[in-house]
Amino acid sequence: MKQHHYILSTALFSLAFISCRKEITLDLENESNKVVIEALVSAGPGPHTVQLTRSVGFDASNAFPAISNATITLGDDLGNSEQLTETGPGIYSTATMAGGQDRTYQLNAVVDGTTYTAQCRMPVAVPLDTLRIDSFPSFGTWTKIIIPGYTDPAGSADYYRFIVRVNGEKQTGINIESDRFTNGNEVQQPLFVNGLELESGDVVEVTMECIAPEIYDYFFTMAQNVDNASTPADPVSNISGGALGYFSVRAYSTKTVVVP
Amino acid sequence: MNHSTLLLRSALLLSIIAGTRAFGQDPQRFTLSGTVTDSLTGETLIGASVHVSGALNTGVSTNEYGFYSITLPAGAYESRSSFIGYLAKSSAVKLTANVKLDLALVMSRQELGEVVVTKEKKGFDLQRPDIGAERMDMKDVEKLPMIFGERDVLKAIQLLPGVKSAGDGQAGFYVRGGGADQNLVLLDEAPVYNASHLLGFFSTFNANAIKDVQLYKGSMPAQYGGRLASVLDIRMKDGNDRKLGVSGSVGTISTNLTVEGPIKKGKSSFIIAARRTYADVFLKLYSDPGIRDNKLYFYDLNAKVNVDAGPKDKLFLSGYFGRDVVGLGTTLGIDWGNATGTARWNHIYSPRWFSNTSFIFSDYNYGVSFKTDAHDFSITSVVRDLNLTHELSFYPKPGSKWKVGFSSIRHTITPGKVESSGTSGINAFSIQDQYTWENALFASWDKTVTDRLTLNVGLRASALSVLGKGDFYTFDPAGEVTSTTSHGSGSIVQTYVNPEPRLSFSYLTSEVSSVKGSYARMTQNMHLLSNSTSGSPTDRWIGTSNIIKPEIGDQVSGGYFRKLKEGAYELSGEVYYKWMQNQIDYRNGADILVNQYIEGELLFGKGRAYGLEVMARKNTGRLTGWIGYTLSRTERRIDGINNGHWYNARQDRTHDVSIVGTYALNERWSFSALWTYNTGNAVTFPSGKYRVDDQVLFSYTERNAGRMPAYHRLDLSATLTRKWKKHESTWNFSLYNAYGRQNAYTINFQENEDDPNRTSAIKTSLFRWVPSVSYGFKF
Repeated sequence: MKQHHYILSTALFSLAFISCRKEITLDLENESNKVVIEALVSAGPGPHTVQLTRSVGFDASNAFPAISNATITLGDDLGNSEQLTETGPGIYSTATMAGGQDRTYQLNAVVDGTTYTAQCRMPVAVPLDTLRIDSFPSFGTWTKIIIPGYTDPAGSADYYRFIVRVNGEKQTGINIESDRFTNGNEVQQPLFVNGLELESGDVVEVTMECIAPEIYDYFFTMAQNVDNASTPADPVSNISGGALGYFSVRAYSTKTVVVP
Repeated sequence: MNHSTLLLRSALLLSIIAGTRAFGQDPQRFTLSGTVTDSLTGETLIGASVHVSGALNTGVSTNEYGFYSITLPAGAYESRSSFIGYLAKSSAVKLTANVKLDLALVMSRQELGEVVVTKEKKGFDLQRPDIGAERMDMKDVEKLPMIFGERDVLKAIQLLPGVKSAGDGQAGFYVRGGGADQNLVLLDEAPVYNASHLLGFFSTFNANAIKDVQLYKGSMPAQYGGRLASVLDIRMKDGNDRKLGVSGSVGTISTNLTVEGPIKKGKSSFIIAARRTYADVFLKLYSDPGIRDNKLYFYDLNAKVNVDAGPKDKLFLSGYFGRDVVGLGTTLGIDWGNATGTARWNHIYSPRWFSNTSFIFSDYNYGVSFKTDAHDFSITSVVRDLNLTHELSFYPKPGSKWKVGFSSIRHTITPGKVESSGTSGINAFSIQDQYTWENALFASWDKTVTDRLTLNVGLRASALSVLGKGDFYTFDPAGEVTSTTSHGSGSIVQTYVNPEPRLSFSYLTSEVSSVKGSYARMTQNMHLLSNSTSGSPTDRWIGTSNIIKPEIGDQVSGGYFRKLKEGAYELSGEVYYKWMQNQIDYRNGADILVNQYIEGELLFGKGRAYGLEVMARKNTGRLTGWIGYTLSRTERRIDGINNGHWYNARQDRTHDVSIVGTYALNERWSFSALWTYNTGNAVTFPSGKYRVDDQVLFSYTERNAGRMPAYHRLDLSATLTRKWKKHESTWNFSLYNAYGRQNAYTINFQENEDDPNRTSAIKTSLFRWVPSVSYGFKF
């Protein structure tokens, strides 16, 4: 639906109106120094990484200070636990802990005396079955779109996130799906990537993540913010303690296709 | 059914009580009554004044059907009827029995010079207790600058103090701090749920079919209810009952054609007005199906028939049907529109008793369809109202008028229904329909207490019943379902009763000035959930439920009104304060589309709005127009948003200025200019940024603490009117945003194009120097 609205607005503006875009200067608050945690556990042996940075003011350069010397612990519901080691500035990695489906993981991070905690359960993996490129007419040209295919398991609420790489380059944009309307079906939903124009010969790689519901909500809010929702707000994080970011535990599969 | 019979009985009882009072009066009184019409078209005139002088000096104004009634002691009188833009008409009346006097007024030609001859001054009635009420003269709207060659009443009312535009070029509006859904927009009494076309750039009202526009932003009379902020009562023309006429216009974006005429001369008439945009017609010229198959248009149709069913009865049937269609090839289609229908029966029981019974239908629906080789699914949503209203007006004696009645509305909402072909991978799915039943009883009394003091006292009792069939949920503070209760079809789940007192007065402080004041409580049981910046046709309407309480608004207002130079100039100043309860907002990241548990996504709280509105108007001479200024503040406090602190509502704008001027050069040419300025909307801007998932994201602090840049623009127009014996034509040349101000429509934050390490705020503006030409004709 978000996409429909996007197409509707784009169609209107491009056809009926000549709009004008211009950079302006705004007097913004420039709040910085919030702790940002991006923690990812994937199905498999790892290493799994947790990245710690700080936020910067709006007008600042995109140099996000890494947080070193934090104490990060990862545990699971089988009683395994491991303290991560800092393998790069602000990057903490596991050595032994493996990621498994249908298991719950706990994250504990102590930064400058403040503790942040989170937990997340890894969903059962749903494999990406097919990946193809289709095209549809759009105002005088044919737009090529990426269509992943998978079979949603009936009887469970499933959430997906798709990450698109074209010729190795990760594309921005948020593509998430829930099975609210597709439960138990073979699903072929096109992915929309803002500003992407595919050419013949491009190599498209799609990673389909099976994510936890709270992670779906996180990205849903993030997409609304990007989509110019009337009142943007920080997405609700599954990390308690006041940090930005998320702790996602995911299963995933990847496919590649060459644009015909 | 029990409820409605109860209501009917109470209404009857009320009218009997009122009636007994009347019949107990002096038998030597007689009634002067009738209808005031336009001499050329037979259109009834709403709000025309009829003044009598003689043994008693008093006056009334015509109701929504042009009817008036005055009961006076027997004697000889001089009656004088007048209306804005018409020559006053006087007649001698000898009241020795009830007299029926129908008055046909002659339009004073609008040209310069002759306006002076009429001596009829436009403008407000100092004595009427109608603070916060504005009537828009369609002839004024005609002269204003246009955008895309479309005359638009909704854009014209945005130039009044206290009324704010929803955005650049938008037909949507906010009144005194209310939300866009808090305006009751009525077309021939039928509520219009989405009053705009093409994402809000045009209103659904075809100016050629409209007779009268009345806006209440303060003292709403008791017969109106259902929305907190305002009532916009739009009445369609009845159609010329003297001769067949064709009029139309060709504009930059649309064409419209109106046919009207008598069915039986002087007795019954019809009008049909149709309008369609044609930008998409040119798409058909392309050979590329990628362009040719796109769709982008809207159309609407207004039709009305009225029949004289004897000297005491009149029937009206009116309907509106409009639709927007946007299609991207054959892949994606979105269409939406309103359909309304009103059947009305005016009955005059006696010269003192006028009644109207209306049966009203209103439907708003949208559909989204998506079709590719692999997919084929659609989403539809419907809001439908069925409404029976009865109103009885009683004119017992001079300076006293009663109005009593009831209204019973059945709302049905189909929030979202997903249909799908077997191959699409999408399951058919439907959110349960929502049923509510809204009943109201009302009584209102207009009373001239002394020569100086006039009162309107009203009471509306509204009852909202939440009906089955359906599952009703309760939620924990996090918005998760804690229990589900099923109710059977037609069963009453819950009923909310709210008395809504209304009171307004006018006190003449001198011959040329008055003080007015009012208090009004309004309630609202249909709520719109929208999370897009501009409003979207897919915004979701939701009724009051076990979780969503009726919204309640209390408003007090006071004002000073003064006429200068015999009404050539008018000055007014009004202040208001409004408290709102049970206001609705949604959680951060709420999913409001096709969501069965939508109530879990909502948060509730209160609002307050206050302001000062000043207006200076010049009514006569070559140059006419007004200057309006509003100083206001609108805030919300919702648990769970902004840490429970007060925050600016989106539509909070501190300053708002409109200057409108029309200069009549000669009989043929007139020029108009309008300038508007307002403080930017309150919005939430990022305060910082961080990196997650290889993307730069923004962090936010306080809600709506930021401001869009101030908005201002100048529009100019020239109108050339030419008249021949049998027909006339009008050319309107307009320039919207004449000095090309780049007003911010949206502000986006993105990577700087030169330095990917920096972030830029990018302003998107629409509509710089938009010229348009429109040609209108009338036979």
